Amino acid sequence: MEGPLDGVRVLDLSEYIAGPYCTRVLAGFGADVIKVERPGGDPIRRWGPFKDGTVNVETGALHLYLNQGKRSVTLDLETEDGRAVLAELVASADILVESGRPGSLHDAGFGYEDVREANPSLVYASITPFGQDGPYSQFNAWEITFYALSGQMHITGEPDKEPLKNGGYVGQYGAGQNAYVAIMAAMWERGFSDQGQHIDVSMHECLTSLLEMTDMTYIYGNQVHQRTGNGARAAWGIYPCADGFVGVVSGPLRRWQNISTLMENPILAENRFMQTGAQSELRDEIDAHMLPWLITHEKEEIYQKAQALGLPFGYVSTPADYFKNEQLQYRGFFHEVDHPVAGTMKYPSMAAHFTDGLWESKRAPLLGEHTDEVLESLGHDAQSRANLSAAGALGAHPNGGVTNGAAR
Amino acid sequence: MSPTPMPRNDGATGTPRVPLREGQQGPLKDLLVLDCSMVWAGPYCTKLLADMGATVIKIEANRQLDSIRGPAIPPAIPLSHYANDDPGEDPWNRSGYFNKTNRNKLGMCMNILMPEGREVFMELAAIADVVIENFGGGVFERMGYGYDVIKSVNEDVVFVSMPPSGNGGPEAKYVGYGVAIEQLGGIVARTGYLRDGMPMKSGINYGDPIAGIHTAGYIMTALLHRRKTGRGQYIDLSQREAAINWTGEAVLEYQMTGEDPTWIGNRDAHMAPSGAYRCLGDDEWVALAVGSDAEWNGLCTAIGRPELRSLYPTLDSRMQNHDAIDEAITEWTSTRASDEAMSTLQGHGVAAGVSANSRRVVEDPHLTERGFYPEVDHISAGRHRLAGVAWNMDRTPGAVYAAAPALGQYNDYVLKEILGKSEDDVQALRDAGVLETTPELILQMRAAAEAKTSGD
Repeated sequence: MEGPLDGVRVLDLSEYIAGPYCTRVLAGFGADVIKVERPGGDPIRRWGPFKDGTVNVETGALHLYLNQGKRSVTLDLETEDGRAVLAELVASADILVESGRPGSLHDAGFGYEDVREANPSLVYASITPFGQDGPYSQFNAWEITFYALSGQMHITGEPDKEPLKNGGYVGQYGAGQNAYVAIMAAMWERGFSDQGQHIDVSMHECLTSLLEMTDMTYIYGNQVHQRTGNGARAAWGIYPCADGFVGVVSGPLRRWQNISTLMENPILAENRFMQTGAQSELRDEIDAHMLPWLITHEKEEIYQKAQALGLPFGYVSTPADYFKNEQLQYRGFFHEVDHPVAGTMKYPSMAAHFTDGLWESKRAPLLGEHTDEVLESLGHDAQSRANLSAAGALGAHPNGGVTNGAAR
Repeated sequence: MSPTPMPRNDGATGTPRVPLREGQQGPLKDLLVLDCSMVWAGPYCTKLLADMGATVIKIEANRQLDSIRGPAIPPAIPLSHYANDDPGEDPWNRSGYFNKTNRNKLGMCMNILMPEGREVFMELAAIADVVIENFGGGVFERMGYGYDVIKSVNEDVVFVSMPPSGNGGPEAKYVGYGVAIEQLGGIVARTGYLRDGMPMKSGINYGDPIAGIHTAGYIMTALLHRRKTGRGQYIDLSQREAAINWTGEAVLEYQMTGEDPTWIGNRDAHMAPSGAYRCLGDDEWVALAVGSDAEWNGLCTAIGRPELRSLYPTLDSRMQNHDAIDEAITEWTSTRASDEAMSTLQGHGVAAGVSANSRRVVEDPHLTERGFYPEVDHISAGRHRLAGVAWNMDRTPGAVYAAAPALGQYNDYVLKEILGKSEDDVQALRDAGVLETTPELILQMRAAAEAKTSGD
């Protein structure tokens, strides 16, 4: 199948989550993504859990997911030869994605200004915690750092407890998803101008963009938005049920009656519960009438029955639930992918069906798996490749198997 | 003389075929997007496209306003703040939520179920690059606007539908808001306080923007595909699947370990310490995580507890003694302002950040210096700041150049400047009752009041 990005070469210098997630999407749509790794590999390869519970740079869950469909080349950029190979790769690329601390690639000779002249049509995306300039640009940051500064943390959790970070990596995934849109937009424009450009993606700003209406609380209302936990209003959030947690979401007031029908509790249909604002004012009372039914029913059953009544319920889903859900199976969302070390597993694919298909799920590369073939394609013959290896330009273990380093 | 609409762009020249507005710029300024989406998921997608220069025409009905405008009669507890906390005479034009999300878009209020409205809509659909809707499964199609209908006048259109779990299949007609999608997509299962029996919902309805950002990228990918092949595309997005993509590694973790994910508060599977620590003042906190030994040493120095370095020299020891370390950190942070704590910690290489409240976000010195909260003039709400474009581009930057449309504000503009209609044509549409600038509920109340007055 011909993907929309077939023939597009992406040079991926990024590490951890945001940049690799962005290039994973590009790879899925057919781009040739060359992941350039330091000799020991992207540090994310050392984040567990690992297949079979043993530390292995090939089998970490994050690595297997984030680096699907790419080719891996190891280069030691501390060496002159390593930098020379990188220069050749930059010249051949349509898109470059990097996640270094602002200025660090420039120090190595590969900042945007350094490479623009040699490759003026290159779309060069930098994905960093706080962007390329400004007072925080040199800050050290993990997910929690920009999650806090974005304002997202302050509005999550109970008002009388500490602000709460989302448990996963939505800040980094979000920045990667935004970078994908930005790169596609730049590629669209490049089709007319033949010019590339520099894209500056700040994880902090991508997250701040998702504040929904809470920054408007200050801008329009001159107030500080308070976090309200799970309980600002009844029937708008998470409730316990027999086998987990369910999302009771009442939707428009005209459907409130259906909650009473669903939960077989006529009291809930009383007029006073159907007034505007009742879900906030009579929250505790409403909860007390709903809970007995909820805790005696299972989440998938509640979800299906509620939806049959037009109620926009959900439930707190885990991967075990996904594999049981008929809709996700119907859509064929999970693709089986085989990996020579990690074996066969089901991977999420893309979140849409296109008329023409367009997406292909492939496995993550072994560390340095494609060093040789990529060098060959750049015109390095066997002798030249041996010389590069001897000079240490390709790192110590170009063909993988490196398992040193603290496993986490 | 009215301009004649140019033929639909073949994507080859980049020349905008509709007039651009002052300040409209960016890599997508040649694109025309017909936007029938409401609330947040679809509008978040078209916000990204509009910020990048695309001409986005938002179509609304006065019988059913986009719900984030708030109801025509403002309730006691509004959905979001009105400008200056004053609903005014036209509250539907003054909602912060709506005005933030729909800046840079043209807005029409048009009844597309009436034949005259349908005709106009199809004229716009014929020249659009993209048509997007996020009604519940199948509703838009039942209104007579399925992909096949649009395609009959626009062969290579990119048509986007984005219901909660996709079209087709046993859940095709299910309804969903972002608050449920973040649960169905695996976001919530990992969020909650340590040692608490309940997971926690997010402070925002994550399902919506996750779907919106996905869709914007898919649209651009489909347009690049169209440039190459000449073919359009029907994009059938599942909001649940989009959210699962942002927790994708959990799917593999489950298959490896057989264990479902759980929540551990602000702690971290790969780092320690990690948490939010109380600072001086009301609800003031600094958050930090320590991912390396160098960061740990920096933290111990910063808080004046160098002896902790050798007491807990490894990640394992820090994981095991997390509570004690938290106490030591809190002892230091609790006598300091959050910004001071962040500066000192960052000075020692610790990944610390203030947990910013909405004021601290909007007034943030870093965001201010980067120009992230630009001001725009809104016809009813006045001049205010708004969150800026989500990323910077150095050669073809996007911009926030126009406020959100008041209801029906651009009816005439779109009909005349984009479709080339005459004042007579537009007047005929007004007379037919196709175009409006006021919610139907308000019109009915006015009519009832008039009837009462004339009856007296």
